[in-house]
Amino acid sequence: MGLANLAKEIFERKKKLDASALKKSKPTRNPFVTSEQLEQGTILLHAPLSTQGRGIMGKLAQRAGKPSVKSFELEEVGAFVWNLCDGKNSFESIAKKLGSQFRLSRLESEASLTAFLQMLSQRKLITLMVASKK
Amino acid sequence: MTFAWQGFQIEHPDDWAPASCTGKREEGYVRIASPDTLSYQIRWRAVKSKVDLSHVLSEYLRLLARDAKKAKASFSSHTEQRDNAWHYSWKGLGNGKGQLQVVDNLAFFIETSANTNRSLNSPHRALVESFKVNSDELEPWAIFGLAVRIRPGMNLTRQMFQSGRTRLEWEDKLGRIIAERWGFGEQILAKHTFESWAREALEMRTAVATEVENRWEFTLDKPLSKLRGFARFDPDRNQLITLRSQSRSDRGTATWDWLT
Repeated sequence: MGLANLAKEIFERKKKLDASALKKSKPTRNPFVTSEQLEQGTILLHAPLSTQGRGIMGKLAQRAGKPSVKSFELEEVGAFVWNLCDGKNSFESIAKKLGSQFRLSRLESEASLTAFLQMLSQRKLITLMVASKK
Repeated sequence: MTFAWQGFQIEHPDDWAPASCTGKREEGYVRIASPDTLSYQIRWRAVKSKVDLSHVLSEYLRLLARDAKKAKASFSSHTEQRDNAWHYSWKGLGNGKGQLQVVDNLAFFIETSANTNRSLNSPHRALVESFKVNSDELEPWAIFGLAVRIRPGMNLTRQMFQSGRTRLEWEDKLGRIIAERWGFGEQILAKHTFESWAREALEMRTAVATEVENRWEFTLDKPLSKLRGFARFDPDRNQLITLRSQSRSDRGTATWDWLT
């Protein structure tokens, strides 16, 4: 069971959310991620590393002075999307706002947003809330 | 919005987008889809001058009927010949309305279809009225915001459609053309100067550059190769368009009017 769970965890971490499910989702920022507004519309994100501080490996990492947070810099377009990931805006509404802000076609804004949200989700910077059918 | 491909062009609503582009000048297929259930489809095929269009059309409808039968759906169709074209409509897995016509030894199926039973009269009329086979000195190509005009009859050798970037390449006996469209133009130009960006994008780092009304032209002549590069920013659509031509003689070099 232990190995099965480990394998599941490894493979699921890399698994991308299905594009149709993504389009029905409402992206929400991970509350443990802090953001810092930089100049020219860019944002610096600080995400805590989940492996730190637990078990022998965590303690060794702490002793070796490994950082406990990972930083990501989002440029203007990414920062615009990040600010809209508040759990209230749906994928469709973010795509529309993105298209209108940066003068993109519908297809272009949806494709860019899909790739970007997949990336944020894989790095656990956001959660994609999808309403399930009862 | 104009869609121009392999010598023909149509107009489609701005929120529609090409969903499939396959084939060559002699035979191919294009589908442009709306955000909901509608789509425009153009099929073309080289035919002999005395082709029996009614036979070609009945073959097509037979295939549609076969697909409907497989999906256990009923199928009906209607055909009619007028104004040098065969007009048809079908109902099966959704419904469609189209016309089959021959222009310059190419048979074109121009069809509007939906996967529901909604009315197709208005979108189909708009499609047919905008359909045009090029007869001008330069041939238009337009897809995903990239719109250029090049020598007629050039062979499309490579196409690349990425989010924020579209690239088409053509070749003929006179030379080679590469046209590219980059989205997020303002954001790119905030990080780089237009000239330095255009040099890199056109791969013409040592070329002589000339600026004309915020458009850049690059020239690089070698004994057996004439390179021309053009770059312009379209602020309305926040995009950068580049065109690079490589030819052996002046006859094949591009000019500014190739960037429509």
